[in-house]
Amino acid sequence: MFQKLRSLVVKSSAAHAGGHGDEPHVLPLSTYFAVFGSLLVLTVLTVVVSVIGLPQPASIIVAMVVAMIKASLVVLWFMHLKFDDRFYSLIFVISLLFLVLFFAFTSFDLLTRGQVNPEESTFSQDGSLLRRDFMKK
Amino acid sequence: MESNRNNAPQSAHAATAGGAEPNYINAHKGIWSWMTTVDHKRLGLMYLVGVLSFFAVGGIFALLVRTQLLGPIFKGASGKQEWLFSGDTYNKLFTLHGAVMVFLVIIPSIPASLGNFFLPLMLGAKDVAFPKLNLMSFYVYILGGAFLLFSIATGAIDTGWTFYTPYSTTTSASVISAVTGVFILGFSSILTGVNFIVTIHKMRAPGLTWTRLPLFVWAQYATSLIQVLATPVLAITLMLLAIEKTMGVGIFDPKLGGDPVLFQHFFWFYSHPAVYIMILPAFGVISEIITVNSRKQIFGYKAIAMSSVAIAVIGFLVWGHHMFTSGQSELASAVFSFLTFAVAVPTAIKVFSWVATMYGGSIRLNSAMWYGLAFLFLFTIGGLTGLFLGTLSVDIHLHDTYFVVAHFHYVMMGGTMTAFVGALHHWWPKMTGRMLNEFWGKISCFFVFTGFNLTFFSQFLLGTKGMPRRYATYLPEFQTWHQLSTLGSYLLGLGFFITLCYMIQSLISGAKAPRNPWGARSLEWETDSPPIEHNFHVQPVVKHGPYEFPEIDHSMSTGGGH
Amino acid sequence: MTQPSSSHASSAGHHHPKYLAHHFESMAQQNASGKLGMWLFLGQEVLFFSGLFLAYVLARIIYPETFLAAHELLDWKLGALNTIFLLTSSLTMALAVRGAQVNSKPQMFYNILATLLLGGAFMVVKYIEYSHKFHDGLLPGHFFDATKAMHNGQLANIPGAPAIFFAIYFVMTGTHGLHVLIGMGLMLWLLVRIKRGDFNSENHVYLENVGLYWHIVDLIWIFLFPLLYLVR
Repeated sequence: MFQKLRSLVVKSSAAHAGGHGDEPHVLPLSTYFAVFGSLLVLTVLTVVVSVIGLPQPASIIVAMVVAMIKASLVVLWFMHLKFDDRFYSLIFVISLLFLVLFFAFTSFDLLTRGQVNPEESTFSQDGSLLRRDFMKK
Repeated sequence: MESNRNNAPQSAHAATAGGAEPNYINAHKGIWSWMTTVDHKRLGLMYLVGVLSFFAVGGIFALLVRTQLLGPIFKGASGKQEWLFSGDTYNKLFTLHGAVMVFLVIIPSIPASLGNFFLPLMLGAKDVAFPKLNLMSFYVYILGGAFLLFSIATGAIDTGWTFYTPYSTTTSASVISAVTGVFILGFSSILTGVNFIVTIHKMRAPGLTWTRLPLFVWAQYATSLIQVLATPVLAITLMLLAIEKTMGVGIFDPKLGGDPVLFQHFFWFYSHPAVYIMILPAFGVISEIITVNSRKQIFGYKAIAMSSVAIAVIGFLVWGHHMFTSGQSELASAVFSFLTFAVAVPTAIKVFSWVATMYGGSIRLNSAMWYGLAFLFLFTIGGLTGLFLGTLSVDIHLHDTYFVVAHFHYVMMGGTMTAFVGALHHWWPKMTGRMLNEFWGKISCFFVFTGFNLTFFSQFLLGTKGMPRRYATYLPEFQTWHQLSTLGSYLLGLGFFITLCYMIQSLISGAKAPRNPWGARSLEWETDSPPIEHNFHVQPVVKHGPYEFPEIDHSMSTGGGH
Repeated sequence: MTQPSSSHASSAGHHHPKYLAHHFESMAQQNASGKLGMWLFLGQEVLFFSGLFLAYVLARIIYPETFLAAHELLDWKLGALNTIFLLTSSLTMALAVRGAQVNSKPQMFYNILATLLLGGAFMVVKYIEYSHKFHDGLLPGHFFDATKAMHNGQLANIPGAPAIFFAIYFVMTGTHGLHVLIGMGLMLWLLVRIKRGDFNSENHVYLENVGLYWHIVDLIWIFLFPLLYLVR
């Protein structure tokens, strides 16, 4: 892990030290349009899946997977991450990791409340929503 | 120290001989040249003035809080309690003390002032990567500070620096302007962090490899990483808080269907890593001070460098330990408690490495080193009591007592601020071109150290006896400890006042500083004191590590830079 | 290492390009610094929005039925239209950067102009959506009035906490819209600079950075669209 990080850093510096030598990586126009086409197709796909109406967990999973594919297309090609300094990818991935961390721990708390003291739960015993005082009103 | 005194005239001579070029202070004249400067050294100095002014403001609030706690005066059996301030005023005082000290003083203290000044110098660069952005973050900082002070004028805040909902969304105090201030300050912090990371990556002098970086730079790197990744979450949290308050949204308010614990998650996701923003630069400073003044290669360079990064990462995994009693799930609390212990490992690696560095070294006890040793003592107490609080079962008893207050102050005040003042002593000659008075430096350190321990050790005892934090008054049995604590705080204030006096004296009539008064090896000592406008006469080339001392005593202080 | 090979450093010293700042050694160093700074800023943006997305997730965990019912009140067709606007604008933005790489001033100019106009179109649609919501009383927090909230001329009956749903809707799309507006401001500035002839294949890191920012704005919308408009 550390070695890998180090090689990334070295690579990043090497890219810079290369100086005027490395010209920007120019992609053919067709690549841009192909990416754009895929983005449109995927957008249609999300809408179609939503209109058909998959059952509860599947629907959100499909929507998010499609969104992630779209996002990857934008990041890798439009933002050139595929061809650029690997260190930029590292930064981006780290920021996403911290995002996942933030989501994971906080939802973990919300979903596991009340396992010792049931009255502290976000949800009631019978599985219906309790939301405590607010919903009783 | 004696050897340095002997070297001083020589070096001063060398500095003037090489210094036909004007230094950064007198290169341009007039207030406008300061207002529009993009020179990192001038900006560092301006931050320093800002931070020290706010430190004085926060310190006055602290002394007022402590003075209130001299009382109450208990009158007879009725127990009528009366003293300086009403409960409301007291709430505002400790909130302002906390908010000013955290957001305006400790967070920008070392990174923004000393970091700005010394990072490019240590890297052998002409400036930070984005000088204009640097100027902008300074103004953003001032603007944020203005908003925070404005909230004092318009009724102040009484929520504590943590702005917990639903109290903060329902109180009539001027929470909006305060959180706007903190929101803006966050951007200053982010921009500085971005600037530093790029500078460290892209602006290093030839030969300055990653393992030749001074440890202060490594600490700044880890700090900047946290600033960039955590601060935006604070920004969004405060934005949601402001929207909640103005529109009654209810995400954080149980009465409207929300969950106040969520606010605490949002807040501590930033604010726990933020305590590492506060302490990591102090670690960097201590690595410099102790190594230079032990005149010995540092013990465990890579371990110290990597532990900074490890603390930065693990620091993100532990925020839930602030919420053990808040209604967070027991399972989550247990996980957070476990992870909290993990942070102690890299921190302990550092402390052991510093002690091992001193072992067998040729220790010079100048006033910077006095502060460095005070740091080691105070921070170790602060760190160890942190483990008490990270232990789930013990925390149930100690949560929200003075034990927490004492722990926090041992780390932030005894740790960061002691290191900050130590760093000022260490680098003062470079920044101003003048030496500080060593005798008074040690006197002030004595007062700070004694006063600090008197103030906060009594608070550990109060905490274990059950004295809750944030109360304007207390039961009679706590009075002795409270009064001792207040006495300590006055000594502490006196110590800092002495420091202020001899710093002003040094600016007026201090001895001229040589290029390298402490015989250090890192790049910032190779240029004039104070440095010229573009830092170095010729681009330095690095051929050795930052702490390779053996050959130093012969060549260095005669100013061998060029 | 920041160590320019010695020959390179000296050559940069000789013909100092006019757009090279004094504290950098070479254009390559300056460009790489600018881009690294931008990527760090984007990391910051990701975490900035993460707070909003997390608020969404948590509110949806607590009130799933509210989200199912309330999203019906958002017009997915307008959302889809806006998605297409933003995706296209991302394409034109990428093409503008390519224009800079191949040194074509018209390619830069017209693609940035197109990006600006598409951003404008996005904001117009957003304005239409917002004004409908205002008209129907579908507003955040205590502005939401269950007795007046209308949907297709009928009283909207949303279970759970509709005030929270609409707060999240407005805060998320509002923050995103603000980013679009800032992006459009940057485009205007780019247009001026392209006209002035500031950018070429060697020096276009500003253009590229605005592009990166714009793509991140697009990226956020890619997630907002299914989460807000297409809940099932």
